[in-house]
Amino acid sequence: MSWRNYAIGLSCAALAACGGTTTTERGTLAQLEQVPADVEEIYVADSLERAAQSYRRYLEETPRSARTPEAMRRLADLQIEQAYGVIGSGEIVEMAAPEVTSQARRIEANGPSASPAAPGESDEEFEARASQREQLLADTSPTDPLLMGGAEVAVPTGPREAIKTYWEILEAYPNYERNDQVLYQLSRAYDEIGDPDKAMEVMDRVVAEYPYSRYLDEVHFRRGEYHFVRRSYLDAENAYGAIIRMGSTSNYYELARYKLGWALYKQEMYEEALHQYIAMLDHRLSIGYDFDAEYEEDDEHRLADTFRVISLSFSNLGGPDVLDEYFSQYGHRSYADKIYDNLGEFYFAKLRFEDAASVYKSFVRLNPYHKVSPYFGMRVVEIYGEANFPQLVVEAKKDFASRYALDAEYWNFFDTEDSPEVIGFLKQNLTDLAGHYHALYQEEALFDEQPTNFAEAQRWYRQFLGSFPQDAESPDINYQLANLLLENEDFGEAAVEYERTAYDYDAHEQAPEAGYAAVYAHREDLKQATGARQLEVKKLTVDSSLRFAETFQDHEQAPKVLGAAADDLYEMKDLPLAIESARKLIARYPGADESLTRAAWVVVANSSIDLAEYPDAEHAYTNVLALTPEDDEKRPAVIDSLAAAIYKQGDQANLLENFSEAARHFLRIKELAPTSTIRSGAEYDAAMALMKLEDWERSSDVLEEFRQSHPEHELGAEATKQLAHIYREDGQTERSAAEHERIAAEATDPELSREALLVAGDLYDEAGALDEAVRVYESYVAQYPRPLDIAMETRNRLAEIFKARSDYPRYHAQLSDIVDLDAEAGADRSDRSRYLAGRAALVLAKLSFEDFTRIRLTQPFEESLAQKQQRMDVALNALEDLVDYQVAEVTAAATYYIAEVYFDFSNALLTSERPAGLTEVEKLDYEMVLEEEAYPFEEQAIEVHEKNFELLAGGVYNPWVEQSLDKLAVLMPGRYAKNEISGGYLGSIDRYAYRMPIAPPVGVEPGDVIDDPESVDEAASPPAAAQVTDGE
Amino acid sequence: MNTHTLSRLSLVTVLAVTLVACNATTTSTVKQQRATPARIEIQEAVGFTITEEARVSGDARVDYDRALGLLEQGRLEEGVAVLETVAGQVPGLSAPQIDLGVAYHRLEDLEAAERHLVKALEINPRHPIALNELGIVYRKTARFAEARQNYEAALAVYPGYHYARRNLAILCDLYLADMDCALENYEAYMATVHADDEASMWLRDLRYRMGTQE
Repeated sequence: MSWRNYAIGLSCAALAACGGTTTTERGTLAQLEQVPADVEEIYVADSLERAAQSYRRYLEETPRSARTPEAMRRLADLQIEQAYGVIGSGEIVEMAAPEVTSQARRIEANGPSASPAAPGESDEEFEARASQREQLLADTSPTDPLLMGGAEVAVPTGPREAIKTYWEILEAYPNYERNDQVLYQLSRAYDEIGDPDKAMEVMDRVVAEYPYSRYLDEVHFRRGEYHFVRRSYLDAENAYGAIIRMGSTSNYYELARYKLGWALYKQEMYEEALHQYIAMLDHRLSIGYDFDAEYEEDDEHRLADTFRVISLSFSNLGGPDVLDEYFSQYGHRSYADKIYDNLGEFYFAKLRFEDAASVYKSFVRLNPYHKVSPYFGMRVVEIYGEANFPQLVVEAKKDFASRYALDAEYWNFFDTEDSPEVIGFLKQNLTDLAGHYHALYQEEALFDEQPTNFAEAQRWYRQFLGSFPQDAESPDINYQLANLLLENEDFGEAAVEYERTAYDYDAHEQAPEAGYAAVYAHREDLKQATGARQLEVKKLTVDSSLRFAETFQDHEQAPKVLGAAADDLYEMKDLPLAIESARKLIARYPGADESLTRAAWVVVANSSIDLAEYPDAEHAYTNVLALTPEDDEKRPAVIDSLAAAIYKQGDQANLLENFSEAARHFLRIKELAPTSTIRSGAEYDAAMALMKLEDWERSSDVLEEFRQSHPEHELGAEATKQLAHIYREDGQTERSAAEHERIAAEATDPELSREALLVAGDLYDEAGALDEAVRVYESYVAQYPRPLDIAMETRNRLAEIFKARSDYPRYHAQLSDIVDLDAEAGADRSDRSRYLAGRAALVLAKLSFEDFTRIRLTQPFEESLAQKQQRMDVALNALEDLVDYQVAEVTAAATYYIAEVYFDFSNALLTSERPAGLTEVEKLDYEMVLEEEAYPFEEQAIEVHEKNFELLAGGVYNPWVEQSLDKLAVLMPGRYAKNEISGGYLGSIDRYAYRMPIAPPVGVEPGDVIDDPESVDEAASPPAAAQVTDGE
Repeated sequence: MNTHTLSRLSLVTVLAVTLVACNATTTSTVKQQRATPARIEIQEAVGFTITEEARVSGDARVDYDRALGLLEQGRLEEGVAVLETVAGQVPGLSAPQIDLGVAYHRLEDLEAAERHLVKALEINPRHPIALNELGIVYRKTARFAEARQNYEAALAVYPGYHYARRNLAILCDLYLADMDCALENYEAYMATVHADDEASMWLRDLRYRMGTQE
């Protein structure tokens, strides 16, 4: 036996001992009910029996007293207990609701409910269960006599004795103070034995006789139940109403409201019934009931039943709209959401999906900022889903997504972190909507609706991304959005979204593909771009490509993308970046497709050329060439480019005047790009650079090879000219002359030919190759009589050469030609031709003069004289003709020679051979005659020399004038032999003293008398005249 | 020579002396503005003395004297060689340059003569001897105007410098056909010498040609 049973036993014993000083409290039986079941029931039974025996013995052995009725009552109570266990304690015993109810489908405030469950308890079953008589006893007979209306059952003797005992008390002790309790027990005993009518009678008596009995509310409730079972709903209303009027302090108040509601409901007075249920809920709320909290199971069941019957009521009243109207009319309730929820689920259970959704939507509409509104919204979606209303599902989702987007007003009242389910549903919703419209967009059959579906899909994708920019699903959603845009050929926007997908999130699986797709989209956009936008899009394309290639280096398309970007950069003239990109491709992907690598090298090469980075360009072109097949038609162009890169290096070196380096570069072309079209030109330029270095040997070698290798080259003639120059500079004058001859022979320009031939002659002349010089000069004067001056000069040179060689016949012949040419020149005659002709004529005239002077006057005198006179005439004519040339020098010479002709003739007469056989007298006469004859000629000679000397006054002074002066000094010394005098050597290194010849001798002061002026130095003897003092 | 001629000659002589006196009065001592200080001291009616202040080593003096000895002996090439050395030793003195000019002139190397005389004038621009010698070289190379300038420059320093006076008279007479100039300078020349028969004859001939009488 447990200590508790032991305590009970003690308690009973105490009660017996006390003789009713304490009564059995209403809670006592209920408490007993809570005592754990004891397996030793026999002992319990024995105990009750012993207690009953004790009371019997007391009644039998004790005279009647004031305590007798109390003992009797207790005995009766024990007998009832022995027969039926605990006698009604006045506590309400809830009937357990079925486990499965429609409540399982409800949307919990904390989350959406699942799909509707299979139908469980029907409305009828619910109505029967929920409205049945309340079980007020813990243990009842298998059949409820209240329901059965007094069905025959076997009644044990104990209860009958107890009923008898109660009646005996009432009769014997009408004033017993606890007769209301006796009546109450009696009514219950009748109930126990299945005689509800008797029980009702007894309860009516309690109502009538004991209006303030503590058992009155229970009695009223039992009466109400009695009437309710018998469908006497008006009586039931009165009984329940009596309790309600007693106030909310009654334990039966809430139950009375509930049952009154049912009574009204049974009478189809739904709105009145609703009033009672709402009142009941209001009461609960007033006593602090939290509808969202969890309570004991029974309590929960009662509440659930209440909500269900409320739903039934509203349903019976007409549908979803009635609910709104009801609360509109009777005031809003804080627990209204529960009612809406229940009604919604009520309809849902009945497959009235539209009504169910309507209820939820109605609540949401009326209570947009209610905590449960989003859940109701979610439930609407589910309901339509269950109903297989896809369009409505979509609309519901759109409505939900709109109402509970993260920027919606709702979230001003609630924290998203407290609503993970809503947020989750929102995300799912957005995803579903976007996917839905995207799928519709892709439906070919819905082509006409594509714009709308595109807009919707984009809207929901973007809303998702705007709301959940860093969600785990965001990259995927972003990718889908990009795909949508691409499918819609919004390439620019698609590229932006692909880039966002690729680069704006933490690393994810789709990033590389998104990066590549961005590049693809940009390139598609580029195909469509026009005008100024082309450059803009190209720049975006390049940026995206570089980013892709940098970020996803291992992507199989990375090399290709990088290469294309490099190409574009070159086109855009962003040359440094083009080079950088191309080099990256080359370095990073050594195993890349050869065409890609080659293209990259091309970019490097071309860009480097444009940047004037020619060594880099050369290196790049070398690589391009290595990757270009021998039979590739592009190969020649590549070779030309390589050659150009090398050539440019030479060009640069030329500009820097580094001619050695320039030549080296130019010549490299022959080795590295021998088939290039500029090779020949480069070789020529190499020679030019070497010429600037005055490296005549190498430059001539290069030019000779150039001329040999490229005989038909347009620069061939120039090369010959340069060679001519080189050889000349190099001291190889004859070779230079030969080159000039070649120039003359090859030149198509007559003037060039003429000049070259003349130079050739000059060079031969300069080189001392006089035979060659004469050959060329003669060829020249034969071919080019004009320009006259040059022809005259050339002939003059020929004459000089002949003269130098003592080849007088040719010399004189040339002089004659010069004279003749000048004479025949006509308008071409010039000062120079006249000068040269004058000089030539002078030489020829001098020949006549010499012919004349050569003749001596010998015997026979007349004969030689005639010959001399004849030659004299010839010479004078020739000399006088010279004056016509009006060349001062020639005129002076002619004058001089004319004078000399006269002088010679005079002298010839004086020195002529004297005739033999003359007497002394005859000799004297002959001499006198000779002198007389000769003197005029001498006078004439002097006169002519003086004429020549007079040229001095005209500013003419030349050797001929001087010679005339010299001659005059001889012929007239008194007048013309006047020589300057020199002071002579100074005689002292740092001091010189001069004394005039007339100065007094040293030591004699001026003014002193000098006795012998002759003793003073002669002025005509300058050295002696200079008074030199030495040193100190 | 008649009276008129004599009086005219006396007048010219007086004029020349007067010119000398004026110069002497105003520039009895002229210090040259040259790197090597040089002085020309004019001695009235006597002549002038040129002193060039430079440190001259004993060896240079000896060499100079030796060169002069060789030149005066007619051993011109040898003398010139020694003198070139001396000129190198005393670059600030004009005397070696003038002597070289004279020697080269006698060697008929007028170009070298001119070079040294020009150098001497760079050292002492108013050296009458250098000016006169260079004037002769200029005349012989037909640069008559330059010759005249040089003679006149020499005479500007000392009008009684008879070499320049006579040479200027010949220049004007033969080469410039400037009879007046010739006459003036012949006469001035005659005033600086006791007698010069040759010059007297030229003067007479000149006056004859000019239609004048002595």
